[in-house]
Amino acid sequence: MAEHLSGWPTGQAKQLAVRLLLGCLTVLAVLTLTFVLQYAVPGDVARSIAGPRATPQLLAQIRDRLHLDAPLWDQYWRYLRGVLSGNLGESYVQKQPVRSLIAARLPATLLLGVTALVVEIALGGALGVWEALRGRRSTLLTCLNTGLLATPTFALGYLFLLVFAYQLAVLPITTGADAAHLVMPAVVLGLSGVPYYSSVVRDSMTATLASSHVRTAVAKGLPRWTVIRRHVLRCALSPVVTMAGMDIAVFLSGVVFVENVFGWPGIGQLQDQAFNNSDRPLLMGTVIVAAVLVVFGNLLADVIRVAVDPRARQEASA
Amino acid sequence: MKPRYLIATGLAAFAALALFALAAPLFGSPLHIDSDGLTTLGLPLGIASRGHPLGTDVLGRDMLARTAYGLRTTMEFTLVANIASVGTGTAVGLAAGFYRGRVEQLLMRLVDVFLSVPTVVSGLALASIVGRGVTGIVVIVTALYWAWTARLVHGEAVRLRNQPFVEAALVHGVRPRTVILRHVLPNIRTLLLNISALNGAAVVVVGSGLSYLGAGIAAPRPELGNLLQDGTQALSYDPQLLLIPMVFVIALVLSFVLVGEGINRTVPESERRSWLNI
Amino acid sequence: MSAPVSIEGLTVAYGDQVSLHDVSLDVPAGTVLALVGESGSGKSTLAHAASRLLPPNARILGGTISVGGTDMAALTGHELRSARGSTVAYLPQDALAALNPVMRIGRQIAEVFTAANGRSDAAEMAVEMLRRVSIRDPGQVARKYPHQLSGGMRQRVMIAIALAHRPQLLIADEPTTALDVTVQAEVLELVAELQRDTGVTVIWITHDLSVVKEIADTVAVLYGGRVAEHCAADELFAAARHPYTLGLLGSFGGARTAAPKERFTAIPGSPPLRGGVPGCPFHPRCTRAEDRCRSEAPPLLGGVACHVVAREATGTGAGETGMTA
Repeated sequence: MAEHLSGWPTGQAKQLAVRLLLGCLTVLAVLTLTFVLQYAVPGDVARSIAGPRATPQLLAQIRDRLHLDAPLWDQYWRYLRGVLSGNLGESYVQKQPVRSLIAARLPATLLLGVTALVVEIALGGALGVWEALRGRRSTLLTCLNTGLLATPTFALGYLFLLVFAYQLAVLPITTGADAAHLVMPAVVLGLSGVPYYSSVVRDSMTATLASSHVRTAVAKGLPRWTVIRRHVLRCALSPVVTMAGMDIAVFLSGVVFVENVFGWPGIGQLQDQAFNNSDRPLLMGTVIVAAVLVVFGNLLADVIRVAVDPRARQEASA
Repeated sequence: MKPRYLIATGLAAFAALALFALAAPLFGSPLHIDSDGLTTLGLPLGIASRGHPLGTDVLGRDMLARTAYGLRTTMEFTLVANIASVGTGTAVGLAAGFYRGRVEQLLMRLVDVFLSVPTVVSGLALASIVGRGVTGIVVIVTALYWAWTARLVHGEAVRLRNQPFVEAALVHGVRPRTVILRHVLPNIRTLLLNISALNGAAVVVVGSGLSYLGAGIAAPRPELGNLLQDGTQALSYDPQLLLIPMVFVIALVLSFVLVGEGINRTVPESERRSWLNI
Repeated sequence: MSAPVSIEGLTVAYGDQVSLHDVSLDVPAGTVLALVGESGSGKSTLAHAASRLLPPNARILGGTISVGGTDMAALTGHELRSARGSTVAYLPQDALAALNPVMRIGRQIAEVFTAANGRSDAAEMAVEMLRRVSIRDPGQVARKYPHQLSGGMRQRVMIAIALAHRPQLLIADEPTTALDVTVQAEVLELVAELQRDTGVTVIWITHDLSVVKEIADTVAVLYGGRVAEHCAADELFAAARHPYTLGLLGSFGGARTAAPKERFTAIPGSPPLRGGVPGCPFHPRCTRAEDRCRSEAPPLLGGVACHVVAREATGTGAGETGMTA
């Protein structure tokens, strides 16, 4: 039971280190996959990298630069070294390094993602809490959630576009990157996750409401809202954070559609372009960045969860 | 709402859609460009036009036939991809759960890797290699979704392998493979049904989504996703070209979701009561 | 702060099943009543009813629970909320589950005080309460979380929370059952001491007669949702009368003091299911049961609820065997 009161116990740091290591291994595996998909496919590797409009001189240049005649292991090693030093290859279709193309678009997508997460947590959390406090399932809410689950993100996006932009003319139709243009894509992306969030929050709250320590709080004679605020909500928080971490992967998928529908200039659009232009290096570059973001997001969720819930610190050191 | 009604409604919706899809050849060809298919101004005909109950698209092709064939294609790849991904995932999850040791570690790490890259991103990357068409999209979707099933089944397998009756069988020398077939599979039936329903919904969404982006099934072969893409071009003046296939996509996903919700609710929830209301 | 407690005709049901039938007890101010019974006897239900902490599916069908003049059973709304903790306090069995896992100990105690006093005063008062329950280094402990404390310390914290309000009645619901024997003794001693200091009236629920010996002034034995016997503690051990109590003492005494390989008495049969049977709840297992016992529940007369005992005490010859005491 000897435990430092200030600072974190060593066991917990060890657990985080293990997670970090696993995350790195995952990224390494993804890198291997992207390598295989680019360099080890049947057919002319140089052509698949250069894109459909490559001239013979360009192909020769690529073969030379990327050492495509060297043994596969050699190419793999070169590739890994390159990526780990930040070189994600070159987009011959757009004639720019992949890294700069992605870097230029990433902030916009992150902004969209964070805003959507806020929408999702606020709305999903509020609905979940409301339904849990109510004590019974709400038919209206169940219908709403089922409807949201059944509507693919891009379909929801177009519905919003039709209603709010075309019919009601409340929000802009043309593309842009300012606050007014952020509203619809963020709301649509957030809404797509609301059904999951609200049911996780509801289940967590219902379990907490039935627990013994809430009875203690009631037995102390505390007012209803104090009990809810101080004893129920704080305890129901942990699964919420874990879910937020898992959401990163889901959002990065949804972002491709949402940016497509609303013309938001982020990496989703970039991926779309890359696919349509057969720009293999750029496409693989976005895969790598996406995987890193997911791993990072999950690690961040773990850290926050441990910081918020003192029980998790104990588990970690056990 | 009673779980039975949810499941029944879902299955009924699915059956209705399947009937419509199967009846597609009755509606004519989806590829035929009707010489009277456009108005004098060159715009698509609206719903309930003569000879075209659902109107025509921007090229003058009959929307009823296109929608029916589109639904048919979507349902075809959904069924195949659903069985393939749930099947693969179950096999991997069970193997990892019961063979343990190195095998388990390796397989679950593989699952982690596949779950680390967002589905659409990987989908696009894979599509650039695999190419378009039904086979392509089935392969892609299976590759994207087996891991989710594998993780869930593995979790359940771990729970079951710790049960006394499984331990007893293993101790008596029954081979793991037999244990799985005879003792475990019957017990994960409900979980598998639930997974199949939700997986089916996801497959429809991702498959049609990829086709919408141009990655899956491409024109001229109609599929609900690429019909949606066609529809976006006429969004400002003839939104029904988008809305008609959208209704069908939503209906199809909804049928899976309803069945899944119904199965979910047949598991009795322990009676939990809130201490706030005393 | 000493208040007499009087429970009159209390009937409680979970859904349709009645779990307490017409229970009447009283506890003189400043004394300790031990409430003894097996699982299913209704002792926990009584504890929850008296502190108004019954789960939502349970209802008080009738009766009064008078604590120093206030009828706990009749309170609602705002009055009920103020009465909780300050009139009647509840001490649960499982201290770990009963404490908020993500809140520091000090704050959980201070909560009781913050409504009336300020934040910082409340924090000091919380530390003081910890000192009163014999926790060494109370300042340090106040900053810890529940999972960092031992079982005994957690139970002391629960005692601190219960007594913080200065309640008139403390209901202790088997608080030592889950603790090691040595810790059990410490906690018992602590409660006895605090009870002497503050004069709080205590109802202590237990199934363990050795606890009764240690701490009780009076005892009430519950069986099948009814009071079987109610008397002073020494009287129980010296001269119990109800057949169930005798069986209980027999098995208890035997279990504690039997020589190796010596058989000791157990009560044959098993306790009744909730819902009750007509007649005396103990009659299926009673060696002295008569016809009357099957159909009529015996009233509590002179501290015992038994037809046979009542008959023998008054000497009326209405029974079959017609034997006089």
